[in-house]
Amino acid sequence: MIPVELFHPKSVAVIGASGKREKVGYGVFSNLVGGGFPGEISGVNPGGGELLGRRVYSSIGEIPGPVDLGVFVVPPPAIIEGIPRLAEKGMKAAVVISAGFKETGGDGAVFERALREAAGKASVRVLGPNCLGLINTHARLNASFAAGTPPAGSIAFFSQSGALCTAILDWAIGENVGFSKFISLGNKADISESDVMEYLSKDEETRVILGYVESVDDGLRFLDASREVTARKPVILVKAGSTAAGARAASSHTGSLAGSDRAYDAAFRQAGILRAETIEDLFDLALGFAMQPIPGGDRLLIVTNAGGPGILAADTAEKLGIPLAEINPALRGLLSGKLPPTASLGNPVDIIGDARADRYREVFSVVREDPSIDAVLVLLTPQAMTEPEKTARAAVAELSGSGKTAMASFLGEASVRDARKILSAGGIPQYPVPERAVRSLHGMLRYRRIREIPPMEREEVAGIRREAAETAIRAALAEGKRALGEEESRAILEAYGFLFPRHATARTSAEAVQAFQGMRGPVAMKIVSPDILHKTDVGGVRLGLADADAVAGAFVEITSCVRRMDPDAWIAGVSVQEMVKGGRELILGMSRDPQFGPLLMFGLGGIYVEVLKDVSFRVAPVSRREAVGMVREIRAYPLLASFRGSAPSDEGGIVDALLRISRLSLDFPEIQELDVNPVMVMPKGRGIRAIDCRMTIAEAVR
Amino acid sequence: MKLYVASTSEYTGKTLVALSLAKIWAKEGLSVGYVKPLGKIPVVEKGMVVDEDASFLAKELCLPGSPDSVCPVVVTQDLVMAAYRGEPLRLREKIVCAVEEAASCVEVLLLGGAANLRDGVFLGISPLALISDLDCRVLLVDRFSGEKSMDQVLWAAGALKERLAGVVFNRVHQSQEAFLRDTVRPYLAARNIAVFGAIPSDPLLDSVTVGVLAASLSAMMVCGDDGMDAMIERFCVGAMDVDSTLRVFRRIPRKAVITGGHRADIQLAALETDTRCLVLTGGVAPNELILSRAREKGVPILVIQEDTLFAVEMFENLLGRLRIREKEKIERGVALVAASVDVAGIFASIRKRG
Repeated sequence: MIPVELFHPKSVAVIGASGKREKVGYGVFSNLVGGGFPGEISGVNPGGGELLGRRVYSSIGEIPGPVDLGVFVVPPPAIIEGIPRLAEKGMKAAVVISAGFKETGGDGAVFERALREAAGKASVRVLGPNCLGLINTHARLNASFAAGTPPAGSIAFFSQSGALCTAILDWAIGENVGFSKFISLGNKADISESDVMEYLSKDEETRVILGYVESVDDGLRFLDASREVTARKPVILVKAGSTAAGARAASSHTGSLAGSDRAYDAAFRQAGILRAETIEDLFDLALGFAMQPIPGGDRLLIVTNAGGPGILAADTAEKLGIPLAEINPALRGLLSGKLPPTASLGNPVDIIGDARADRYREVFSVVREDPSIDAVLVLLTPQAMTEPEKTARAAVAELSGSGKTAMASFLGEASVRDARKILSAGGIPQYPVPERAVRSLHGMLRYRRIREIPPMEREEVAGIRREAAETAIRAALAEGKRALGEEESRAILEAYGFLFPRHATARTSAEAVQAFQGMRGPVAMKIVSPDILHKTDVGGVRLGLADADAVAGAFVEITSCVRRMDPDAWIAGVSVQEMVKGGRELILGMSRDPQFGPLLMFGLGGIYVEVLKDVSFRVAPVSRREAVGMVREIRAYPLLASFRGSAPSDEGGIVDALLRISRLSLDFPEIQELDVNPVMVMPKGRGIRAIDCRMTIAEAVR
Repeated sequence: MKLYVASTSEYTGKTLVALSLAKIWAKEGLSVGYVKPLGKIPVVEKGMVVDEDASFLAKELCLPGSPDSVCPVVVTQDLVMAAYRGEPLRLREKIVCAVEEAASCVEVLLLGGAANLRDGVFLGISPLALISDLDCRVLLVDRFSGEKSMDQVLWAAGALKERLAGVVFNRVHQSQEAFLRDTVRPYLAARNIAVFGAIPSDPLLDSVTVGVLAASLSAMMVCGDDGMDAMIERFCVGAMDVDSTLRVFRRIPRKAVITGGHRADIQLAALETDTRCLVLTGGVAPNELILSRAREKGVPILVIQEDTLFAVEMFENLLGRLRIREKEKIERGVALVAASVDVAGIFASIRKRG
């Protein structure tokens, strides 16, 4: 828990306050004083004296009264020494702005550990180090060295990048966008993004939480915390490093191995976090959430004075799955009475180019009362008769507080500049182009659905023999194994309720025929060799063998091929396996992400995974609802449901299998990777059959 | 009693078997000696050319006597040239002399054979002739490889006749164990060839220490002096994207990772998994964050000027072809032999005739 003193201190001490204007110690002090912080402000500097009308003490010991919050701008050793001494004066929280910690390597890492220890011992929570500081506009607290303070508002922003913080502050001041809190996380030696989100979720001055994240330190905690936070307030994050190049840059920047972007994507989705692709998206969304109510439904009405922008907005809405509201006859009647005959009474409602503010106002006054509309987008292009400012005032007067979610896009620049200010001041978010307004609405609609998701429940799966799997894993680890082949992996998966077709290993063609005769229908045959990774590459696989001659022949062919193509490979034999007919090929898998833990994967086998990369991911544990979501999310899902009259596949069987893998990967942190590939899903009610599998294990800290 | 430990090819583990037998028997109270008739790894120690292998065994077994009593003939450039010139070398006499003298003071004398039963013919010391002249029994060590091994063993059995005590298979992969037991042993038994054991392949024995690797690469050690003795079993080249890197790295324990100095992502992935050492190529030192992470984890970082291919080739030459020298490996090797070889059976077999 972050102590309240971090954001609402009664007294603040700046350790390293300086009279030299070029120093950070001056910047912080003057921000505190200049920001109008009403509490006690004191400085500490060996030189002592006075600064901006406040006392500067030559040592921490000389500060007479209690200190709630310490802001440090001195070198690392002085911070580590100063924390316990300020804790004696009642300090509960510290902001460490100074650099020279983990980010510099070498001694810096040692200092960072020492800082964490000192803070832990003194029960002081630390923001930073290596950060810009923090701002709480409502408490008039600016404990940062940023240039300026943004207006007070309801958006909270936290960032792992200090530089980005300064840029966004500058933008906020320039655009007059109100913020509640500004938090620069720095190296996150103590306070993490999860701590901050938890605090902000209960902060009454914050309506929407924004963040810029490069890496998450404790993925599971993050996931748990976010699930709770997003049930209360929208959280919109930009995650940097979503490409390989970006991830590389992030690695060398933060020194932590970036988890896979797929894991972040899955985790954000499961946690109900809206992921913004760009900073622009982040703020577009933020404006919507900060100024407007979450829509009561998804029906959008577009009002425009020009066809083109209306169509662009309608296109974007359709692409994002936002239905345009039906203009019901009553509404049409009301509108037609107020609009010229040339106006278009469809949706978009085109009130044509000569529309003055009063025509807009009449439409607004009708739609604000119409229960079949949930959101209104007001478009305006500056034409000869247009009255941008008056229209803006009309929109504010009619739509603000109407219960509808209202947004505007006044296109152009010079002649709409003042109108935009009126809109913003009146609480209607305004976007330079209609597409951005619609995307923002889309984010709000997504959040509306997120809030409706019931809390996660732990799923129980039946018929698990945990001890059997444990024995197999222990034995393999004792032998120093990491990569487990089909045989060993199968034993573990069977213990977790996976069904495999009948199989046997044959050392001769006669044994192969014998095995075949004990099976039903055609068989598949595969080389068994510890030296061969890719069986098909060396001609080590034959399928659909339906009689004894074919089986004997395949044995000779497979072993001959392998002997010719890989003479040094040891041939242990050939496996004979019953073929599964009438199913559809799937891939199920798990890979342990460094940040989030087990990441489950699902896709349709063959080209769907390999070429189209049509796969879905979730972080385990997954609920049944999330497992169903995984199955339905892939583009090829219609093939599973029912395709051209074929029987639908056993979706329940797939969901059950995903829940089993989820459980298995939680029960055994030793399993690092797991592939069940291929898996055949049978028609509805007949379950699934795993055909081949492999795993990677490692000693795990439990 | 003299037991000649022969092999069918290089790197079969002959020295390990000889060393293990000597240690096991010595522990049982027998006096054991060792002579390597023909040494092929010349090294100058205290001004004398000695065989490195023999010198190591002599120290390990605390054998008394001068180096040339343990290895009477070391192949030097001069010796080879003399052989080309057709000069009389009289090596046989030297060997017989050294062997007989050593044999006279111990209960069991082990003879370390050459890489195969033909090595030395050029120098006038055919192993087959020596075995017969010295009246030795032979223990054949073979690195098991299916029917190729059968060719070697059957040929040796034909050449050695009753002098062959039996065979020990080495580096037997787990997947081969059942086949060896159920198919190979009965086959050889039917031909009166005893199989005294199957030593499992062991990653530790094939490994190389970080220190040895650093020396072979002439690498600059950036951090991790404490990790010099860590054993590397395999190596991995890191040149993919992080997702696949992690996948690959997880499958390979106790590894060295070779990658470019600028690939921070790969280096972090390596440090995240079981990695014994990082080898950074192209002369690029790691960034500070990586360095502190490696220090935290105690993983040494080596920087070399050369490219990745150079490092890979160096590794390939090292792994699996190393002479066993480290204490940890010796202990493991002896333990493996004790557990998987019928040492008493070997002794009984040589006593029958010896």
